[in-house]
Amino acid sequence: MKKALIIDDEQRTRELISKMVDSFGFDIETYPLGENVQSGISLIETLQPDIVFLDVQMPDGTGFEVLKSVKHKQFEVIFITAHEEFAIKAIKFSALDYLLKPIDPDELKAALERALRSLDEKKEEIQFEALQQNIQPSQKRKLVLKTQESVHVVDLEEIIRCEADRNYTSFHLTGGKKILVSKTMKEYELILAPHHFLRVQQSHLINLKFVDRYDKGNGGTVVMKDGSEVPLSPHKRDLFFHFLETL
Amino acid sequence: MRRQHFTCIFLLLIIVLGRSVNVWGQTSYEIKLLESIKRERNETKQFQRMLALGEYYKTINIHRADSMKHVLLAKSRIFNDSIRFSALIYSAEVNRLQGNQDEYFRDVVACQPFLNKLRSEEIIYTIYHHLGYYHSVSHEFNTADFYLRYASRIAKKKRNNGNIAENYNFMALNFMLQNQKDSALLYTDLALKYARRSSRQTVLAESFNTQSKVYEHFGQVEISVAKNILASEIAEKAGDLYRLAQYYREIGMSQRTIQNLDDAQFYFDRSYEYSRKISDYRQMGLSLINLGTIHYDRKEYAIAIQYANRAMYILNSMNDANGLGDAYNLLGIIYREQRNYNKAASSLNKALVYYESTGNREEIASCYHNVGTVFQKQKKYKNALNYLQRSVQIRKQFGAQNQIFNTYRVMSSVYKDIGQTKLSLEYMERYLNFVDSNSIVLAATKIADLSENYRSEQRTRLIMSQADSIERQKKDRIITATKLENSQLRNNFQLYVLIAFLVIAVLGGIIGFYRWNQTKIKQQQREAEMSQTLLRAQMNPHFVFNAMSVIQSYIYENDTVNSSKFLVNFSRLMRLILENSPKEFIPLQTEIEILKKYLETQKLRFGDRFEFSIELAEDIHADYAVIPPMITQPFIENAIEHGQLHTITNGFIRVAFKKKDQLLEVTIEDNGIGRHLAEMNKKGKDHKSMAMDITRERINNLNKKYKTEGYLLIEDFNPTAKTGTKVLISLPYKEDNNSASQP
Repeated sequence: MKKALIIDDEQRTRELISKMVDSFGFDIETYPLGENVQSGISLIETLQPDIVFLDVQMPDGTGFEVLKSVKHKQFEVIFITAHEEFAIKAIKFSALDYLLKPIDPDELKAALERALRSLDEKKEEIQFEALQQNIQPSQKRKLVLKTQESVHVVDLEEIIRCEADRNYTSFHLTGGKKILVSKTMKEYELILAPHHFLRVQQSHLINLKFVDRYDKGNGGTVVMKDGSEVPLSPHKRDLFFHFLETL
Repeated sequence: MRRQHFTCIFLLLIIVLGRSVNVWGQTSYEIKLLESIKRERNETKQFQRMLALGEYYKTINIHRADSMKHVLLAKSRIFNDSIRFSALIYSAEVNRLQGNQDEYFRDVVACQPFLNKLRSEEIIYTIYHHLGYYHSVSHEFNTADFYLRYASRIAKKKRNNGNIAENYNFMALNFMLQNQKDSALLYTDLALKYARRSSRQTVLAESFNTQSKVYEHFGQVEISVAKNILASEIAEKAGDLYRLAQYYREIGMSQRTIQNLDDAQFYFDRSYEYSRKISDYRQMGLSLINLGTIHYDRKEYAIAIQYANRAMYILNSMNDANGLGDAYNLLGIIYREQRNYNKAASSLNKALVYYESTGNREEIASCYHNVGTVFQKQKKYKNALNYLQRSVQIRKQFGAQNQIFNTYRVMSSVYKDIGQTKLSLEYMERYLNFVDSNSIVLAATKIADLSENYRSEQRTRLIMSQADSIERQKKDRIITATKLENSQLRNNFQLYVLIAFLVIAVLGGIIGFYRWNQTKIKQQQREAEMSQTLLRAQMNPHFVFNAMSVIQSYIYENDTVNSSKFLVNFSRLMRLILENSPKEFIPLQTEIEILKKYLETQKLRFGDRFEFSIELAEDIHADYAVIPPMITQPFIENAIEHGQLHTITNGFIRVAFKKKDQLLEVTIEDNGIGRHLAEMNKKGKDHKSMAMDITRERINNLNKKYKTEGYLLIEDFNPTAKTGTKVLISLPYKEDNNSASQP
């Protein structure tokens, strides 16, 4: 029997999530009790839940403050948010789950399933740390890459390029490191695009800061600083040079 | 019998003349002048009109001009000196035109007293000019020279080119009569130069004619003819029939000199025709005499006598002594050739009488010569030589040198007849010397090949005169063109200035408009941004999605009544916000409704855990009063969300609208956790109340626009416990009747 704590300042939302989770028939007991940051922290400490549904925006603070303050960090977190864009971005960078209000039961179910699968991995702490950094606007972003075996936290300055392989994405980092993640490159493109990343071709997303040169041969090739060659799609040519100039 | 015949011819002539006069008398210009004279009451003006008519007659009808002369002279007596003078000058000119030298000179002399009376330079010129001519013809060359030079000075001073040329012509004639060929030709050239500059075509014609006269005088017949042809062409163009007749007669005489009789006859015929057209009886008579001489040369003596008689009839009526002398002179030589020596002598005597009456020494000499020839024929050699010597003497003294040689030839033959071979040879030699030098005979042969040259000279002269006029026109055109150009330049300059000004004005306008537009656009942009942020603030997504979540919860509870109630309430609120937030002002009634809906929604969200109230002061007309939309909403939201009203027992929120002077005061009170605690909760986070900033800006804008002193004031509701919040918003109080009906 897994324990799921629900922290939200609206009683109706807490009860709604509770009812929804109950309706799925998982082996989960819900505790719709946390109504603000303070109560949330103390409930986590006392309950030691496996899964926490955490509202991002509460009258006395944010859900991130809750995560920061608690000592017990061995739980899967699923954020609940009405609209907070900034928070969503940070959550995505940190490879954490979130749900939007009003809540889609299917999404809730999928999130629960994912949470239950990774319960044993106990790698949340690294992600929470990355999250804390990612919610600070002045701090350098850290991208959390979760693989079957481990959770990698990488600086954006480490990523040279990404290459898509069906539903997997391989990250080529400085020092010849290569990480294969079971997520589509489309998801990464969305969050990395504002950080000097450009999808120069269907299956290639590159960090423009690592561009060494451009070769005209073979219909145009971008040579990265690690010597790897990436084809440049003719459609992206203008955009590529435009971004290079404004870099 | 013969006389009757002549009478018949003359009568016929008169009838023809009369008719032609009638034809000429019907010109519209003449009729107009006559009518204006009749109508004119002012006598001075009437006289001037009559003078104008007289001037007109001078060109079309010499006979009428002569009649006019008498009328004008008679009429002028009652007027002042200047009018009397103009009448006298008119008379003089008409007399000169008619060849009536005596009358002409009498008039000119009569003009002299006016020199002292009228001090006008124009008049002095006219008098001196004519006096010069008078003295010149009277062979008083020095006096003539004095008057003409004086006249020239005045004309030059006045820059009257026509007068200068006219006067130079007289000077040339004066030198000619003094047998000074070079000076004469120099002055004709000068006269031509000034005549070309003058607009008076008659002066140009006269100048060529003078040149012709000079060449004729010095025996250069060919050039003389050429010059006269030029003169006549100009006269013809100018329609000056009087001069045309005169020039043609002179050409005829020249042609006769070189025995070109057919041409001479042609020109005399034309001269007669033109003279007849303008009733110039004197010239008609002279032409008839010339025609007579042609027939005499052809030895058609009977016809020649007819012409001489016709001439005499006409000239007798004119009292033209010289003309009559010519006629009798002609008759004399005709009778001589007919060996009718008595008649010849009698005719020549009559001629002499006429010539002597006018002092025409040239013709007297000619007469003496002819008398001499008659005596020679009569073998009265002593008498013959006597008359011939007198002729030579006179000619040596005054006349043309070129006529002496004929007398020498006759004298040579007389001496031959009387057996004085030595003297005969001597005179023959003189004759031949003259022929050699002046080569009259050669001229006849020369003229054929030279005529080409003359014609070309004539052509070049014409071209020159045309070129001159063209040049003059060109100059005029250049002057007018430059004038035009100047004015155009000035106009262009003005135009450019105007264009530049307009361009600057337009540019300025465009820039001004652009800037105004820019600021307007910026203003609008700011307003749009403002209303967007406002809308965003009011339609806070956090609130919206949370509210939806609440609805979802009702649905999950199968609470159809509440889910429906909440949904309707929320929809109404959304509609009110969407409809009203773009407006600057909305009715207070509407604003209150929005607040109510909003508070109710929030209350439902938090499970009825707080109360609210909205108060409206009695002196406010809720129907008319207007307020910027949802200016209080952000503070209410703050009170609920951050004041954690739902965590407080007996939590409340009170909104009150009051009127204070010209301001609308809105207070929002709540007993939440208060600003300090709320701030502490958010410490470490870059949190600034967006609602406050937006509201402050809105109030500032209203203050600027309506020149009010609205403000925003936030304090604690409970100052001692530092809990709760009290917000005071002060706005301009406005009423709008139109807005009242809106929802």
